[in-house]
Amino acid sequence: MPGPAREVPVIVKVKDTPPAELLRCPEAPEGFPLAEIGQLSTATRAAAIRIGKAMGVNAGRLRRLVNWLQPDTCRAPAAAPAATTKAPG
Amino acid sequence: MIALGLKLWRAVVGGREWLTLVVVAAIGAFLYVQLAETRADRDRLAAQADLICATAGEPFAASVVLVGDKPIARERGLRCRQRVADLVAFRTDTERASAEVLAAAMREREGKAAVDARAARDAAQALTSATERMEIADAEAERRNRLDRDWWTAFNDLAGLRSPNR
Repeated sequence: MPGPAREVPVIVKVKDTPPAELLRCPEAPEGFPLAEIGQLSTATRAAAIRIGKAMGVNAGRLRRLVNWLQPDTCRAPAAAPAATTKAPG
Repeated sequence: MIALGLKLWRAVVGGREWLTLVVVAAIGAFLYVQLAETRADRDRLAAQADLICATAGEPFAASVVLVGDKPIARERGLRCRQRVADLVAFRTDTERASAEVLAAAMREREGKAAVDARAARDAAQALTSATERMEIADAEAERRNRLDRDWWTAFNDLAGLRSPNR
């Protein structure tokens, strides 16, 4: 006469972890060598800025998503270049 | 009036045995009806008990249960009562455990939302300042028609690229 199973909650938390591949932090490849390319047309510069900005925004969003699914996995890249930019006026 | 009363009294005193019989018969009939009603009531209750216990999944009738090799007699209604107690306990435990799971999930979500809100704010700030630097560097490049280190540094920063070794 076994009693009903005890300690079995009706609502169970399901761990729905995505594959590890989807939880990889966005890659941050090494950037362009500084001042190697000296001239680009205005339109090309604008396109480069558009692409670069979208890349940064997407990476930031992916980082937030991964951190939402697995806290403290991805860190924002150190804003190292920021220091060098401000130097010359 | 008094004469009539006396007459009735005499009739009662004269027919005492007969009257006693009538009274006893009346009481007997009353008790018989009561007993029949009680029996019917009891049968209905027993049927109800059987039905309720069958619904709960244990018999109401007395039974013998094997515990290991030892047969143990269970009085009528005991198994059923234990079963109902188990079910009630199960329900209580289940509700409590479920509430705990839900509360924990809500707490976790709130924590995540707070952390993400902070990350979103930081990212927005970083993007704004990177964009500003890029605009300044680009205006300078436009003016001089030349891309200097500042432009590429601002670009690498805006795109989230690591600064090159050179």
